Amino acid sequence: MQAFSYVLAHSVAEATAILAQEGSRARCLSGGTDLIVQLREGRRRADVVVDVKGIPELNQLSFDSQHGLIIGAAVPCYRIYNDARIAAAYPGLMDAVTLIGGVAIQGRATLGGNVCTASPAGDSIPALIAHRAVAVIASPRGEREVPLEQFFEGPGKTVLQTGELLVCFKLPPPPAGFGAAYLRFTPRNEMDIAVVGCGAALVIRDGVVQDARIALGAVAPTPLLVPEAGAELIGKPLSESTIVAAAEAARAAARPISDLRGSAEQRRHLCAVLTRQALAQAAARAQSLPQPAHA
Amino acid sequence: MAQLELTINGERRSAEVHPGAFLADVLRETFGLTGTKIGCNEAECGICTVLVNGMPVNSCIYPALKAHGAHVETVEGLARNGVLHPLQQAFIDHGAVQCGFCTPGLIMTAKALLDANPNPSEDDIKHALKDTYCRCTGYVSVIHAIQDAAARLRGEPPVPPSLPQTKTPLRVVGQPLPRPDAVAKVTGAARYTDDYVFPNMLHAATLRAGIPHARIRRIDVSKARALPGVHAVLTHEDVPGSKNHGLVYNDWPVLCYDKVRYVGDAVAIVAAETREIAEQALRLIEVEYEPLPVVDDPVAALQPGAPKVHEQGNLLKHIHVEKGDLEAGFAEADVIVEGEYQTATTEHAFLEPECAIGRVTDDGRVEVYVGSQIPYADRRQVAAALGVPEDRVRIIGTLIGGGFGGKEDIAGQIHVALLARATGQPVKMLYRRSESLIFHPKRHAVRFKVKVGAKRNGRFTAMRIELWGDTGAYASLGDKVMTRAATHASGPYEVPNVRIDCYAVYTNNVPAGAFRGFGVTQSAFAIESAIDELAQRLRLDPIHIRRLNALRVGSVTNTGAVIRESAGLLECIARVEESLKQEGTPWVFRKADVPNKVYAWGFATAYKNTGLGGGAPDRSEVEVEAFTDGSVEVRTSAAEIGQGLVGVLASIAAEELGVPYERARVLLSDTDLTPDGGPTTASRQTYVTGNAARLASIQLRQRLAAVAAEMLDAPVESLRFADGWVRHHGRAVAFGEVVAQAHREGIRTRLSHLYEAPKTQPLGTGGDMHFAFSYAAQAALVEVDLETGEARCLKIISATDVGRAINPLALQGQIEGGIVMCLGNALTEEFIQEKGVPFTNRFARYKMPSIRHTPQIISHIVEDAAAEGPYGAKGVGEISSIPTTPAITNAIYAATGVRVRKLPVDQDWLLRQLRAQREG
Repeated sequence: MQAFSYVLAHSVAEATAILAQEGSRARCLSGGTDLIVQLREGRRRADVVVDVKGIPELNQLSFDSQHGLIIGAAVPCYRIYNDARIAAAYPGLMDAVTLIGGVAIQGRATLGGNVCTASPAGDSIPALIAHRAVAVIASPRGEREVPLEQFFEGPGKTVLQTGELLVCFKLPPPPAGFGAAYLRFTPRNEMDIAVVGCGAALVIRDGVVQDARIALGAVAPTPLLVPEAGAELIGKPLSESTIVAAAEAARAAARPISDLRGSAEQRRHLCAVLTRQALAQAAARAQSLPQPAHA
Repeated sequence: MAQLELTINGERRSAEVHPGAFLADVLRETFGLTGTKIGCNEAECGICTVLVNGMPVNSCIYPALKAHGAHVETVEGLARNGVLHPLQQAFIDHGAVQCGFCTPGLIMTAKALLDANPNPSEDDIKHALKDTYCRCTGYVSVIHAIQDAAARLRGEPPVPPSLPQTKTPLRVVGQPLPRPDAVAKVTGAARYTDDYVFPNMLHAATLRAGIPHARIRRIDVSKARALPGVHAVLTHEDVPGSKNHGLVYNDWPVLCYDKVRYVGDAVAIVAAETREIAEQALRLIEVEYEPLPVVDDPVAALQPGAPKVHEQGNLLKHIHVEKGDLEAGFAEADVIVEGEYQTATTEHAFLEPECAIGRVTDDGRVEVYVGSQIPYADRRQVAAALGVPEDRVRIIGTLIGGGFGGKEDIAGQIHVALLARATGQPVKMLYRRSESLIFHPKRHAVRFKVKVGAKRNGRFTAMRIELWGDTGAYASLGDKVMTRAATHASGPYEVPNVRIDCYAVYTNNVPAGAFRGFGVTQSAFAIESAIDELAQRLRLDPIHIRRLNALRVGSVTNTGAVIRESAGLLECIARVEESLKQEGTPWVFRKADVPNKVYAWGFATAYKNTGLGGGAPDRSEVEVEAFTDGSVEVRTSAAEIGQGLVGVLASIAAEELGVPYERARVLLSDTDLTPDGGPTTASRQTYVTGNAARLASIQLRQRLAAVAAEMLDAPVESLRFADGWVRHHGRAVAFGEVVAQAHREGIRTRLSHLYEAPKTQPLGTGGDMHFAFSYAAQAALVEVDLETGEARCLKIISATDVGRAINPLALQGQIEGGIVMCLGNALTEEFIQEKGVPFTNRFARYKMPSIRHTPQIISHIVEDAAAEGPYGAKGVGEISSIPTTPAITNAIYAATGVRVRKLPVDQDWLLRQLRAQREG
């Protein structure tokens, strides 16, 4: 493995300064469950590894029903699912963070890392997009916010510029009648990379779908938000036929490739199956979730 | 360098470490805590798990400096004042320790779980351990052990292990005893090859070809030799003796000279002060290749004009089996089914990567420390390559972190011997997982053409089977494996007319060799699928058709051998059938709450020879010594690869010599100190080495009885040896006292016995090809998701005829492990190669079963004794892992009507078939 120098950053300013100075020589280290393995196999190079787990802003995890959820980029998965209030309010995210790896990985792996690795199959991403997550990005020049569905440019490529650091995600508070789910399909049951992932979120009030977001993973060069699928549902009562229409829209939006893990044909088919199942689960949760007090 | 300060197991420690160092390496190398093992270095296998501030982490990818100021817990810290932690004790008591290499990781992951959740459900356990692999146990005993430990920690009484019903035990034999090496394995004290460190030890690395087929034009190592820190760079020119090695055929270059024939071929080796320098040196070696056309398919390789892997052609061996009159048999048939089947190349995935250490002693001999399945074959091959007599080489066997057939061939043994001689320093060669994957022989991918004829009542009349086995670039054990595949290809049935033609073929793929089941795993899939199809065509019960044709005493096998005894197949079938009745479910069923899923059972049987067979002399020598302290030691070179041989040999010696089990030590695999027990292959050690140990122990007892008879003034025949005493009516003398008296009389209390198993005959002679067979029947319950094509195995009911259970606890674990491994063979495992280039070049790309895949297992033991076997025992290592695959694929057929013809079950393909069915 290539030798690198390890720097523990203590503040956003310190980290962004190093990243700005070192440019492409530097990589952020969060949980390390992707980066270290990639460095060891020579799939990535880094001369400077900047450990961001010591930066307070990247470790924040706060939730209230007025302002929603803020998750620092370096918060490991287990902290998210161990918080019962967050798990109840953001069930799609909860599904995703419990699926990623086993406990040793969940103790280390972070949403920031999963998002910045920018694998089209990253499990947290469709769930976060369904939950309307916004990425907060810092640089020596200041902060900017990017809706997560606009964060990705291609496999392994994001909108992050030299010197920029992903600080946290902001998720709006779940409105009344909200439900969400994330499902994935792996070719050999466990311990694999999704060949299709689907995040779905619904807001149902008075029997009518007020909002619907469907996001797909692993079926295009970047995770995909499928507004056409949502459009099939919004303004109508949820029914078998609207769900099927949304599922068909998801299938049509998918642009999968064939590889050793799955054919394009199967992936498109699974988009429809998973969309249907995720919507059904989100709808069930929308009806059973405790509703926020202010609604 | 940076200063690291941390607390390890309650003790403050500090060290200067490289900023890029990882915790696993620092624990092992800087602090000498080698209980933490490294299996993959890619956070995939989980066995390196330690706790950092109470959280489980994969220490192989955890930067050491992140642990600065932290509390780190490793397996070494669990036992307090010599008292094992309840998890450690429960792992021993439930037989959840086999090879032991993954044990520290499993225990530490479980500790984190129990620290947070004192009463975990089975689901909680499966969630917590889903990233921590074990290749031996099949996880069932692991789950039980964790549940038991949780109970003990809650202050509840221990939960006893679940054991199969077996014959009434003797004093020791037949008792469910813990493994003698279990304590060392749960405390982290057990040492595997990479845990050994010698002063001035160098580290070695191997330059692999990286291309599947090429002529070598030029090798220039001058730049590598000039790199500071490099002590030696060797090529084929530096091999003084035999340029090739091989277990059966001498066709595998020690270091390639004219050609490279597969990606993992060794071209040059380096010894340097650190592994990093050695690897850097590899990059400085210049090799000029002339690429040659690649052949990657055994059928294509036999076509005229196919690229030649070896000069003499690509056919390693044609194996022919003939019985009766095939044409007449098919003419007689009322129904004939024909089908083609294909199995995948699969990987042993033992969790300990290959490692060897070479050392030159003061008198110029070469010592090799290695975890090998055949120490004496290593000695022969190392000596040949060095060009020295065999007695100038000593193989010292270390503990082995799993083998399954994958540690029979030479790995780094010869290379470290060459480098140690070149440098005069000890040299360690540890393979990275990626290197292990592309280098070592795999399970043969086999293509089958099967034609089976039967009468309307289900009686088989004829079978015609053709097999093409991809043996890869070198022979390894390909000839023997494919012979076994061929002779077992018509299944454990009496078939009057059989013709089998089998071709073991060279290609430019990674070599294929021994892997648990030895060809029979593949054959069983093909023939059991065909028989299932036949039963369905005849509308016969799949169990009935197998019972009707099953081999039994008096049957004649397809090679012409007569089954004279110990044929428990009918009883296996009956036991599984009985359990199925108790299940009370229909053969195919649905559940109201999951409309997209269908459930069904599948059934299959299998048999597997014990011992080398085919006319090969099958011998084992064991030395037994009694000591004045009342203990005994059993010595032989036979491999403990997790299967439990140490316990078997200790039990047998304790039984025959009448000493407590704990007082029987076993010393294995040191060619200077232990005689040759023969290869650990073909499920032969319990039978062959077990018999040698039994007979040696009996002879020693007789010798001691003569002495004791004098001491007790009693007739020899009336003496009883038990519990460390020799008794005659009311009088007794301690076993150690008898030994002391023998010594005073000048009688040696050490002797050895060379046991020779019953003679076998070569294929084609019609005689007994094998001296014993084990049998099994299994039923599998599967769940198929009709919307996604996902198939899962939920339950296995198994019955295994092993002749006699020497240790029911160890036996149970071996059977469960075999079942789960074979479940992987059916559903998840494939070593993928594309035109000779492995895609599966890291663990993340090889899907072996995790704890999440573990089905419920109901395991029955059938003990149809083999007259010559020790206490009636015969082989068990392989048999349980043979019928699982076809039981699962037959269940998938029952569930869906889709016949699986290619392994592993491709869910993408299954879904397409299901959709085509619905549409057409």
